[in-house]
Amino acid sequence: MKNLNQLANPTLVRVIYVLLALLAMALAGGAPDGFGGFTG
Amino acid sequence: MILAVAVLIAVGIALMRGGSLKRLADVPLKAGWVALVAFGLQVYLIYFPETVNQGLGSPRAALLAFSYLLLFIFVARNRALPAMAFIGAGMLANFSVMLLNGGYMPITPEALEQVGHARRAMSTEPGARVTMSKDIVLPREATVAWWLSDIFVVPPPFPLPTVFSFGDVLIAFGAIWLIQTAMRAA
Repeated sequence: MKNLNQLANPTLVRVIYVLLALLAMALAGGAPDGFGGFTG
Repeated sequence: MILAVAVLIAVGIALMRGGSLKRLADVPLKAGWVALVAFGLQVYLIYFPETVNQGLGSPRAALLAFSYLLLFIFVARNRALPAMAFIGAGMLANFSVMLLNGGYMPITPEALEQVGHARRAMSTEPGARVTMSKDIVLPREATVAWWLSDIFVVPPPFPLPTVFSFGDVLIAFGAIWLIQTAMRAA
């Protein structure tokens, strides 16, 4: 239960949200020949 | 991949310099969902590409252009963040050359060959889409504003062989700067 509470921590959720948004921004805005590491 | 690595390395460097991930929670980021939607649209477009570029009139090219419009909204909403001007300029550079060449990022057959990804071209004709990318194969002489296209080749044995554009450099620089500043802010 403690772990679940930690996962629901608003700070952690906000950190993940900001990181994902910045990552999405960089990947979607950029246009290298591979996209997001899916090129194998 | 190279841009994802740049973001992750930026986080790692900030941590080594005494920064904290927790401080990212204080970044006054607005409309982050807009960037996530733009990314989601592009994931669809790279997994379900058209074989050859049909021009800006094709639904997929139009959808890619729309995803960039979403990104510009995201950048505008967050223009107060550090380095966002570099990120916006990088996106504008990429989007401009894509618009000028039918909606996708041009890459020459030679660059694709150098990086070992020639097999990813979906056709042998000019304008062929490159799988898992936003690229089309175009000869240099047929590329408008070639200098803004994917021209910087990082070939093997580099572990992540890639070809990237001037716009990508600006975006990577801006993202690294933004993360360094945000994680070290008091």
